[in-house]
Amino acid sequence: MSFIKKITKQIYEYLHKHWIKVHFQKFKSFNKHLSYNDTVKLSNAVPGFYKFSATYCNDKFANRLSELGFIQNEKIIVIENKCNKSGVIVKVKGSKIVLNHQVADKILLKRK
Amino acid sequence: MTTKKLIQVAIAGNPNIGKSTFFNNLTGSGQDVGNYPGVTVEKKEGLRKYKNIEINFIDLPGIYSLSAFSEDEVVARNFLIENKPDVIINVIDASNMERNLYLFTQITELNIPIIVVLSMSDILKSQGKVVDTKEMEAQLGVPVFNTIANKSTGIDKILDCLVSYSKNNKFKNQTRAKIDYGKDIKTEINKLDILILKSKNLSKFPSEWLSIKLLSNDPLVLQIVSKADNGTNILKQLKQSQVHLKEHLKKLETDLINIRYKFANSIVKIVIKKVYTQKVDISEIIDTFVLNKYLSIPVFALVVYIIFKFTFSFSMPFIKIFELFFNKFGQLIATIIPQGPIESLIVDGIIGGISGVFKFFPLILFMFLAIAFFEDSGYVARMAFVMDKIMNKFGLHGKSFLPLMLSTNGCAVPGILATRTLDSKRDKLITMFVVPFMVCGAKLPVFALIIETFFSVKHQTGIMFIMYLLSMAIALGVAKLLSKTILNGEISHFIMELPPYHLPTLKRLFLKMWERGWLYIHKTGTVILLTSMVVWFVFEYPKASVNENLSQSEQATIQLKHSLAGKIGKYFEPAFKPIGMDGNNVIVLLTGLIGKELIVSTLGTIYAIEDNDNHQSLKEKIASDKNWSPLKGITFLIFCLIYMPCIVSVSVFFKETDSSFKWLILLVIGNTILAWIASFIVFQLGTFLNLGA
Repeated sequence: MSFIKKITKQIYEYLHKHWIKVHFQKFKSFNKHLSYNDTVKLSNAVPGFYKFSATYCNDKFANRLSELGFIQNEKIIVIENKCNKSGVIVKVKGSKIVLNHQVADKILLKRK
Repeated sequence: MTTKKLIQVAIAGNPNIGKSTFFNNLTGSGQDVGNYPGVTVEKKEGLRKYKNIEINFIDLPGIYSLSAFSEDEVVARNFLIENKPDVIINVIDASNMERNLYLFTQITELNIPIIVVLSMSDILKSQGKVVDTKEMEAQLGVPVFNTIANKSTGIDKILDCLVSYSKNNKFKNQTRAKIDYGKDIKTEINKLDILILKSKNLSKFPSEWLSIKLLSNDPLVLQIVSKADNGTNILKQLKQSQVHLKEHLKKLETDLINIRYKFANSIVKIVIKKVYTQKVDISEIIDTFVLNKYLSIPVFALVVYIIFKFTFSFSMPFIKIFELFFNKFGQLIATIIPQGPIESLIVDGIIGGISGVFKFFPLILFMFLAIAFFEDSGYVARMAFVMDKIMNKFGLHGKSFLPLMLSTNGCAVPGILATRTLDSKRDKLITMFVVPFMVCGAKLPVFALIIETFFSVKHQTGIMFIMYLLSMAIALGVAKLLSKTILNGEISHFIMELPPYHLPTLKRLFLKMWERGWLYIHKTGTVILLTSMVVWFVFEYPKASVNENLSQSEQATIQLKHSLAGKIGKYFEPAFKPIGMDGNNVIVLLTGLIGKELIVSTLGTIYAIEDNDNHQSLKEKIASDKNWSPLKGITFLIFCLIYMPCIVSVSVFFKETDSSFKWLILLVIGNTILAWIASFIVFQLGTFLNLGA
């Protein structure tokens, strides 16, 4: 019995360390960003001028976004939101980029 | 005699900035064609002889960076690193310079001489800005040239530069601009650099680039380094460097990107001069309607309808002329050559087979023209975005629309290759499975022939449109089934750059139409001649004994049963009987495995052999055949639409799935079983309800 308890404890500790804790930490910091009045998710942003603030996604995709111009304090113009009931059209570094709702939901913008 | 020198020049740049057009202007039109704008997924080469020097140009897929995010980026990156071209021509969109210079900052680290070519200068000019090329040359330390993508302006100057630089060995001494990463990063790069230079396995890679990529945690570079002789030492140093840098920087990967963009931004501020205030941006106005919340889907449907209407309305007179020509030509040959096996081979076998396919060539050309117009204008990229939501519902990615579009009326082969632009393996596999269901250029003549035979002119476009919708519905249905079963998983993120709208030039459109048309003729022509002869042979031999009491058509029926084809058909007939197919249809469908265009040519050969009355067209011959009915025609089309793709598509599919037999078997057997079930339901239901029998 004690053996099962030990195993269960180890599994719980492993999950807590590698998934739950990490997940909630990320989520906490994400919500902290939202608590500021001047911050908005791209998926909720009405057309207008913004500045890029942060992303909440895996490193690989965050790097791709950075390479496309989503870098700290970069000017972002939201042209159309919920186009075709899903995507967002933005202008970054002079070019027009379209993102679907799932991506837009992970991007934080600051109101200019 | 002077020996010719060969220079290898790679053309790299962001997607959709007219790189392929520039490549065609450099090499002369009609070079190696086969890739499509925005979805160039494989490098292509073209040789140009200029002033006694041979220059081999290599057009690479469009990339935003050398970080190898998707497969097309890997193709470009691997070529630049492993093949080490003598020169890289970095094509930069002048109207969107900052993002384009970001790629330059990475290319410059490869330690290969660079020439910068500015495209889209005309668009920049319309924005009231110009580029100071002299200043740009001074800032970047590389030659800079101005071109306009659709015109061959400035090409000679670029070639002159390549020749003079290579003759005077100026490239070796090129002092390109270097990015200042700051003291901390530079120290760590140097530490890694020293270790990399000591490694024999890594000597072929540019050490500075490798160091930076290691610091950015590039998975492919990490893999290469871990296999190197002193890989463990390098990785140990990397860990130390990363720990050290984390003390000073927030996030290393993002910081490196920020530094590069800062460099690009500083160059843009210096070299772009404002001449006058910007005029109204036409792209913005068009997008207001085209990407509008409510109008995007109706506009999409309208564009598809325009493509169909244009194709069918304009191609019909030409199809009639082609048909008449082949009929008269067959009759003429029949009068010249004396009756016998040779006359039968040429008239029934070769002319009968070829005319079946080539009379629909105008239809394909007009379709290519219409699609080329929307591709060049920039609307096709928007189609992917508009379709994203719908595609997602069926487990497909928005970008999957582009391979499906290429396959529709084009060919499944570029469609399968274009799936490389998809980032996740799951999305790629599902798209590859459904691409062959589309009505490709080879299936189009089959559809046109059967619909033309059994339906009135008034209903032909409508029926054809329904068949296209059906092909889309089958593709989406199969995608949904796969995404819910064996390829279950999350769809990857959709993010895409929209190119500005361009008014396509007539020259480009006709060139593109002709290039793709020629590709079609080339692909078809090589197999059609041989297959037509083989089909003629298996239907003509062995010869049945001649009975003079029988009529010509009765004699032909006996010959058909006695022939090799008749025997093969009879062997497979029981399996196809429940879907209304006879032995002849089985042979037709079997030849379709070599290429779907052969279905029509085989029908042409069979009917030419069966009926020597050459005054009748193939359409009339099928219509008068009692074995055919509108219901059988539709069943036949449904089977053709779904069953196993042609051999070329299957082999490309096999290669793209990393030679997986599991997926290959699923494609070949799964599609054929699905085709049989669908045809069975349609045929039996139609017979039961007495529809079109």
